[in-house]
Amino acid sequence: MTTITDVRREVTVAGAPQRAFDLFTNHMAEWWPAEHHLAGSPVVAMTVEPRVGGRIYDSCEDGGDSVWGQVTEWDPPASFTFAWMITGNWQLETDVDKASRVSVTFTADGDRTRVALVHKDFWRMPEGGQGMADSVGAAEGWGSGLQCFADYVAT
Amino acid sequence: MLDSLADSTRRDVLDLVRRKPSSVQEIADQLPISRPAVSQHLKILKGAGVVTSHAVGTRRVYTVTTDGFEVLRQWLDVMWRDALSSFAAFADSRPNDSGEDS
Repeated sequence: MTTITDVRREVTVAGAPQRAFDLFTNHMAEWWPAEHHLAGSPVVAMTVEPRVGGRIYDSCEDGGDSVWGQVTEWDPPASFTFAWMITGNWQLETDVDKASRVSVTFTADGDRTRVALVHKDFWRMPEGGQGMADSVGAAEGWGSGLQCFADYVAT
Repeated sequence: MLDSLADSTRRDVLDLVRRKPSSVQEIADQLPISRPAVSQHLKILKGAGVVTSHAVGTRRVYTVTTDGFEVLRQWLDVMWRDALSSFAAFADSRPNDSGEDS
């Protein structure tokens, strides 16, 4: 069985955890790198519904919403966790039990806040490894969003 | 490493190497590109750590180093790196109201 290690990243930002949590969850569209949107249409807003079961979604210029997360733990301003509703083939995962998890914690560090993100629980993804392998191998395998990302990284 | 996969011909090269460890000639025989072109793609893939090579007699044979999960993981690693970096720049550029809720 293939296992995949957690992805861990962290930064420190000015201010208290309350401020960092608010900026992270209520102002996401203002800081999310445009190149990393998976939606096909330009994103005009990003929403995190502040409760367990809440959706995380992009609102697109064409009027549609693109859901890519579901809140599974909500504990402001210390942390929140959401299901990453994207499959190994870069399609929307509709079953929360088969979605990997992203946990973000906000910890006071002097007068700053350490923001630590862990993308984990990849074991939940049913065909993730094979799906990704097929996706990389197929000529048309990469989704448009991922292709944009690849182009972005290449520049 | 994903920029190494942005080119469709390069993905074809990677696909052949994934199926079977191959030499430059063996890959060139199966694709409509020249040996130097194959070498160039392999050089980029090798630089990205996606493939590696070793000598077998007088030939150099290429094999893959990563599976699909690792590709996914690396993609997410780059995405979250950029996202958190962008978030930090955004948070530090805003006036710090010292915890007063606006």
